[in-house]
Amino acid sequence: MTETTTTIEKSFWHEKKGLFSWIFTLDHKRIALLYLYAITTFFVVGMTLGFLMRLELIAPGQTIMEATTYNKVFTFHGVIMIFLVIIPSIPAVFGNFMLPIMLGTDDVALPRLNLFSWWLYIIGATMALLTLVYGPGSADTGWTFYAPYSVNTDTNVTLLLLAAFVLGFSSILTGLNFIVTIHRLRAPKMTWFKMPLFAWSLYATAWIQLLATPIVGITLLMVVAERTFGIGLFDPALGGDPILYQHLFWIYSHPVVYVMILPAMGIVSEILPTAAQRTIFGYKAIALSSMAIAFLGYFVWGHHMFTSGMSGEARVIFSFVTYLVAIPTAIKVFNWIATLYKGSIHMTPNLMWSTSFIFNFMIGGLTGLILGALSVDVHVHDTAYVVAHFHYTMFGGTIFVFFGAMHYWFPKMFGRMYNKRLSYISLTLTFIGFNVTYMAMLIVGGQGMPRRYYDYLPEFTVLNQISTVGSWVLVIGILLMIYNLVRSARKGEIATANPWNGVTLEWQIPSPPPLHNFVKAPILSDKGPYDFSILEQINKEN
Amino acid sequence: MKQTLLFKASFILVLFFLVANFSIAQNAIPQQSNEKLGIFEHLDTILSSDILITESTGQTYRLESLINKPTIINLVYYRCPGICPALLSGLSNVVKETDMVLGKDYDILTISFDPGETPFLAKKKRENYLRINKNQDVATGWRFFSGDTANVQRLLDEIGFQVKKSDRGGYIHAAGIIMVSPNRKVTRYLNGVYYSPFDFKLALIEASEGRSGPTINKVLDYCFSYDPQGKRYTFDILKVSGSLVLIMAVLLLFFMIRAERKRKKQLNKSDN
Repeated sequence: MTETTTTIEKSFWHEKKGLFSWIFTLDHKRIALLYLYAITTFFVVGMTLGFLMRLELIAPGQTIMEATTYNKVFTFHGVIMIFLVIIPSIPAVFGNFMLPIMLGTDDVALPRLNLFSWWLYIIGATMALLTLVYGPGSADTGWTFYAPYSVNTDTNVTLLLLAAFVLGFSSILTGLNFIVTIHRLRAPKMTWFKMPLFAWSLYATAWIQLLATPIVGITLLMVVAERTFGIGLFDPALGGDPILYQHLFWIYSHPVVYVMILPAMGIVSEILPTAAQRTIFGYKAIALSSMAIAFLGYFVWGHHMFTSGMSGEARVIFSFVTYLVAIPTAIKVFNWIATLYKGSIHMTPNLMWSTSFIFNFMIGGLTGLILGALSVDVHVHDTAYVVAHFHYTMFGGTIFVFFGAMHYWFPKMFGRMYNKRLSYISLTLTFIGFNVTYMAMLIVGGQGMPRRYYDYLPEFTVLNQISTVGSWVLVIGILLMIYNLVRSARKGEIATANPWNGVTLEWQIPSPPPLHNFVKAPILSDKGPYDFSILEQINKEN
Repeated sequence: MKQTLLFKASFILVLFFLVANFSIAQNAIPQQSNEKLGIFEHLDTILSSDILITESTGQTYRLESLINKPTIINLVYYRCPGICPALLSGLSNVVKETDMVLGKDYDILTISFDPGETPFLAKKKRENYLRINKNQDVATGWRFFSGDTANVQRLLDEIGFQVKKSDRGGYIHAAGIIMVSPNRKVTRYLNGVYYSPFDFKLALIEASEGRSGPTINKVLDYCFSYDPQGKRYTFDILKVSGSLVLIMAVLLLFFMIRAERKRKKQLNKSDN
């Protein structure tokens, strides 16, 4: 636990200098940071749009924007948050940075492909942004691009679809890279069931990215073809079917919500053992439940379409299979709680982010069961209830863990420690703001307020105002957190190699890591990745 | 060094390709198919006052004499085997659920777009909904009409409701209701066959104020008979590309596992 280790070998930060050494780097750590900066930027943009939408809803009628502007704003908020933030967030940032280190290797299997994925991401993002200034105005279809409206509207849907297509390729290539890395580059004695759980969750995620993303790629191209050449794939006048679009879209887009949440679950499975200083409860159950979720996720897409026109039998089957997903998810939650039970818990900001995640995700998951129930879904379909549920899982779930992971691995990535007091304050504000915003939305949705409206009836005013005020607290919390992290990256105290007393491989190398990660062979326990009996030895060698 | 240069050059090439690609796609004007079908919103259009339609009683009215409060126009044909009964029952449900009063706060005009249909058919439909909605003033608030080709076509064109006669008899058409203000201005379209009481009330309030709003639910439900012949091509593309992706994934897994076994063997050998 000395600071001198960082100076023995140059860290990856100091290895080379200049813009080109970053944007053409093949180092997985630098690519991860490139993703981090881009994703954070887009997150702030998306957050601003969300903030403006809530502001519009502070009173019935038009307040700060017109109805058509509101439609464009929620479309862009969705596209940014889904395609540019949540899908790449954890795999591209923490997967890229930590996966090779956790497996005990010096880089991903295909470093050039990795850099190419980042470039595709940037090209896709640029194309998406161009729709704002270029052509006949930004899209107003919602992020789902439902046909036939996406075919008929004269807004700039074509370019946005192509952007999503390019971003899809970035996602596929990252997934492919992780699969090859996990199969080929594990440290010699690290068998499958000695891999850290984060690696397991990335493995499950990567298969979804690889198998599901091509479908949406094809689907989006079909819409582009339809718009450009009028083939009639989704047009009944020419023998097509608009419902076909929904099927194709959700065959991808349901599995992809597991791309968004599985890596987050993997990170929680890393943070909790370290915080409780004991091995994870039910390692195999957690590892295999990730695979089970990835598998089941392919067979539930119909629950997005209960009111779209499907046979009764199909709806009952989709509803039933949707319930099955709750089983592996509950296995994880129970195992996490069992891990904390009787552990010697150390209060850390990353632990608090993780437990907030479990709280939020329980609400997100249980409201998901309500939505998965066929009879209830027909009533709350297309209401603010669905929006609140989705934000509880994706924002309260994935993004909370993303922030938690920032607080867990920050000292490793930047070699400095953040201000813990500020981080607790920002977490408290974010947590309270988040729950006020979306709990109010959940209730008002249950009362019948539809989604995607810039206006509402007077009886919904109070709850909408509570939700808007909540969003202010939420934004303040997040900005405070970003301020704390950005400031600490430059001015924070120098961090030690193992500030949280973890035992996975990333805690056995200097903070920040040198270019090739490992200076000496890491210590691997025979008892699996979370064997805390080797902690003393690790800290001695650091 | 040479390799890195090549690498950077290929990046720039890809970038160019992508830029060129989307600018081409952008410049191409979306071709409109000759046969339009669906609901093409004409918000803020004032419907002509002199369109003539005949009520189920057999009496003919000018449109202007029928609209004097927020009014819902719904276009169906009475012999429709598909989506029209669903639309009418969806409408009848929301009439029951909403706290707006039929006949007092708003009227409903159900109009057949099949010129071949008679007031007699309209009367039978009307009796049906009189029975179902006993608590509401259907007798005065919800009226059923038919019309001749010229008048019906004018109404369809003004509303933007395009239908197509099917080869197998009947019509291919979309489902939705149209809100009209007391001075016959089109203020909102509600698509589909299920209307939430919220949407419905808000749309009626807008109509009463003559204020129009864009459609929220942009998914159209269509009524058309299934045509597997026309769809085969689409399905084939999907089958082929789906199989390709799956085969490639299985191959990837196979080679990964094989390589791993080999490596293990080699490790064991070197250990010994």
